[in-house]
Amino acid sequence: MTDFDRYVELYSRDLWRFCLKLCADSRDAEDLYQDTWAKAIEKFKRFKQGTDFRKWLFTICVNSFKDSGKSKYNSTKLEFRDNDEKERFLLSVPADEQDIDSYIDLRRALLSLPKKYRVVIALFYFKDFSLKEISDILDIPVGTVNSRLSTAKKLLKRRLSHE
Amino acid sequence: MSKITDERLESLLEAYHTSKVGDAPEIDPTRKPVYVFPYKRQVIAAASFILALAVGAAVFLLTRRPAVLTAPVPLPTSPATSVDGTQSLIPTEPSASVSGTQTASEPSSAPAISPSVYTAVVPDESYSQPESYAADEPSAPRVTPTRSETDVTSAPTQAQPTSQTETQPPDPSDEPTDEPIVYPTYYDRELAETAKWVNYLSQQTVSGAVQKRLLTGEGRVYFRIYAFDGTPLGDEDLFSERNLAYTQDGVYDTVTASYWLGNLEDDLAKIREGDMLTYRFFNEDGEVLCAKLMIF
Repeated sequence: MTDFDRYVELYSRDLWRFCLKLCADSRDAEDLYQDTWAKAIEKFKRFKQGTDFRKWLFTICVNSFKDSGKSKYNSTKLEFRDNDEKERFLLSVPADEQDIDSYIDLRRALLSLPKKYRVVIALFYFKDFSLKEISDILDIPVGTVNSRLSTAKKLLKRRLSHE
Repeated sequence: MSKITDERLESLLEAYHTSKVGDAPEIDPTRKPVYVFPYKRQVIAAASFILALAVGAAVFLLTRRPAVLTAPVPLPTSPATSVDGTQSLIPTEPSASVSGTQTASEPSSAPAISPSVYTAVVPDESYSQPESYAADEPSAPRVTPTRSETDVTSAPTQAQPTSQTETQPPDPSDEPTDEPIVYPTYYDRELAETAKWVNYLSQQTVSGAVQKRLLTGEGRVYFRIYAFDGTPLGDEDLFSERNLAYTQDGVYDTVTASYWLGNLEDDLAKIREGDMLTYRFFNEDGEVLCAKLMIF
């Protein structure tokens, strides 16, 4: 098994979940996931062994996502592929039944955020990257990360309150 | 909903984080995507076409008028007799005035193109020669290994040639050419569009599929397999028209391509189980329509 194969084994699931958090439509998530790996293969020779592959991989993913234009990977319609997928989502959320709508609202609010805010939220809350790591991934100052995070939360609160 | 607090938002985000939303659903090769408005692209294309026609018509009209105005035809005159018996110059119809004597008297003026003459020239005879199109059509339809979408789930077999005319009308501009088909190299292009995909591998065949919704227009689609380091597998000659896949009519149709591993010959020996390969679909311009990863 090559190094790359090992990385695929290690990070496929992680990356897939991240793509699903970024994209409203699971089909978009599939595209983003596949594109990220395809680009990782192309650029793997440039990856410095011994550095953090996960961060490198997520950088590719985030760049693909945010540089892909407004519409790509960015279906605005929140859709589940079918009822099974919706059921899976509902069952996956560790919440009481009466609270389940809050998560659907949260998902909808998250996915309505502009890409740059969505990425910061996803990296910080869902992937546990530090502010410094997010700063490296997005190639922006830490202060800007903080600012975007704050703005993203404000937007989320506003959208959730207006639901 | 009442105003949400910071704490509430944090707890929601935390719970969302720990949810198992990311568990990958199985990819169903037979699945057709569901869209709110699947014909958006077609509508945009139609609107663009109409707009282009309108612009074209406007440009035509604008360019036509100056041609008449900037080269005014001195209205020829002809003697006319007035009531009192004197002769005066009265303009006559331009078309009636193109005579040898008249042009001889205006040797230095621009060629007189009167509106009536101009409009008489406008009809383009090429539009009224459908038989010339027929003569230009390829005499034999190209073959393609297209398979229907439902084939994707069945055991893959080597693609059988299919007549192009079964799936799309022949393009009059698609003239047979002896020029070799130039295949794009692995690093030539950035990934352009991606598509939904399925791939599977049997002992005999590698197959890929791309759904048409992300293909740009009609036309041929090329399919090729690459090793992990980007080396195209197989002899290029093997990726001739036999391996072309064509788009199907309909929005959701799937373009599939199969490749018999036996054709990889020597390359096959270099591939080990578990190796990473990619396959790619290209359009005729070499643009990558879809690049997908697969594990051998």
